[in-house]
Formats: sequence, structure tokens, C-alpha cells
Amino acid sequence: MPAYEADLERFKGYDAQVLGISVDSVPCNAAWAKSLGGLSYDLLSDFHPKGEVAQKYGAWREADGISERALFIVDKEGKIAYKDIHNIADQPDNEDLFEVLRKL
Amino acid sequence: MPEVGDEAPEFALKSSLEKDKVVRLSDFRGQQNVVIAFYPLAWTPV
Repeated sequence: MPAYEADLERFKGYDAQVLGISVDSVPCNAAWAKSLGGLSYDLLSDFHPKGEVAQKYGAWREADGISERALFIVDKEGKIAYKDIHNIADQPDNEDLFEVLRKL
Repeated sequence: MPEVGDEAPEFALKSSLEKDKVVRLSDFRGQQNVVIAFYPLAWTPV
């Protein structure tokens, strides 16, 4: 998640708001963000009912009880413009996101 | 599972940034693009 913070100005340049989502609780996310030196975008808690949003997006790992590492870009009309269910162990490349945002 | 071109499912979730702040996807409609980054768990690498 620090990778998004590092590129936040570029996201803003494409008129894009970054939102992180996980099944962690609010205090857990807040403490983690602080430990990373502070994040200025929202980490959102898909905590109760657990994983409901991840399930709606098809980004849920039922066996593990956690979400995938998954990226979506939603355009200003509320439509999905990009979807990547990523390798869970890998940091996605923000350039892939910028390539899509550039065309919106 | 929603695909590219589909309406993105609405959500309303609590934020880490401020106490009692709730963020809805629809807050950004007509205003900003949104990059949603699902991550498996806090306190894990990546």
C-alpha cells in the first residue's frame, strides 16, 4: 500500500481517488497506516459482514477468509474500466493503472 | 463477478482516516475516478 501513497500525486493528476479495502478492522488499519509513516488515502474496512464487498467484486478467497489482491478502476459514471485479480504475493505496477486512467 | 463495462457494486465502508468516516463509492460519481485496491491483510508485506 505504500506504493500508492508514493504515487498519490500522479493519481490526483488523473483525477483519481485511491481506496484500499481489506477485511481488517478500523483500528487495525489505522495502526498499520501509522506504522507505514501515515497514508493519506482511505483504508476501508470490509469487516462486518466480513468480506461482503470483496465477494460482490468477485475478489474473495473463501478458503482463507481474506480478499484477493485485486485492482479495479471505476470511472466517473460508476462503470468498471479495469479489473486485475493479481498474484496475491506481488505488488501490482502502478503504470498499468496510469495507462488506463490516461484514456478516461 | 462484475466485468469491465459493468456498473461497479456500491459499498459503504468505514475509513481509517477519521473516526466514524464512512466512504461510499457513489460519493465519487460524476466527481472522480476511483482506484480500488483490495489487499489481503494489514501488517503483511506488499
